[in-house]
Amino acid sequence: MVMEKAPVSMRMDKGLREVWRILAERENRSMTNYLESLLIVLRDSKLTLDDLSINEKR
Amino acid sequence: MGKVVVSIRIDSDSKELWRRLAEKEGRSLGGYLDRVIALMEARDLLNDASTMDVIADRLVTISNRLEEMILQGSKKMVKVKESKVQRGQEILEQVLALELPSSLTPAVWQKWVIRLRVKRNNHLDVATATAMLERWELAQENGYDLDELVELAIQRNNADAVYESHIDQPKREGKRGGDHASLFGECVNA
Repeated sequence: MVMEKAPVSMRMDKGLREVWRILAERENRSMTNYLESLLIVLRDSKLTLDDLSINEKR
Repeated sequence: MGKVVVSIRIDSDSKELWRRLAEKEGRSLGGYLDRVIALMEARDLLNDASTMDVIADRLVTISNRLEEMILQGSKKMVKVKESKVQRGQEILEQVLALELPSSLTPAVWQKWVIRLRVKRNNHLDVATATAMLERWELAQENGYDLDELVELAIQRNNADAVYESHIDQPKREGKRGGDHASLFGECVNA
């Protein structure tokens, strides 16, 4: 089954985009594919950004 | 660090999921992704060994730890609540165990104390209850039956069972606890 693709255009931090690129490359994925997996992992964890920011230095 | 424009094509479902997650946090798609990556970096989730599976495991661990923290917080609150309730119960027992004037029976005293708690949200402490009983004793010395006065005050929903008139003047013959209605009834019946 072919998934319908939707275009997204956004502004993001240059450094963080580079981190994203490296992470995807490390797993031999495209940046989009890496992002799709990350979104699913985040959804399944049920964590909010506030949850993630609690004791973030740990 | 500056901003760059990033354009990608992503599965419609994934875009919808992304939109929902970002919207829940009140952020744009780019803003949400920025924050996620920054936080994951700060939590050392993106080091060399962090594959997507490792990240997922770490997120589950964080989630579990948060749940534990919440649970511990709730348990602490329950303990504080329990100790307050227990303290209140102890005070109630002490109030009910106070030495009573001879015309006041423990059952009527208990009824009065419970009524104050329930109807007037007045949780008598030992000192207040002792002062109240000492004052009531003055009415008893004037010939009043405290059981009668208390029952009457309960019936009338009064804040106290003994008033100045009970303390200032001895009880007159034929007057039952200052119950004018009963007295009137007795006169009519006679």
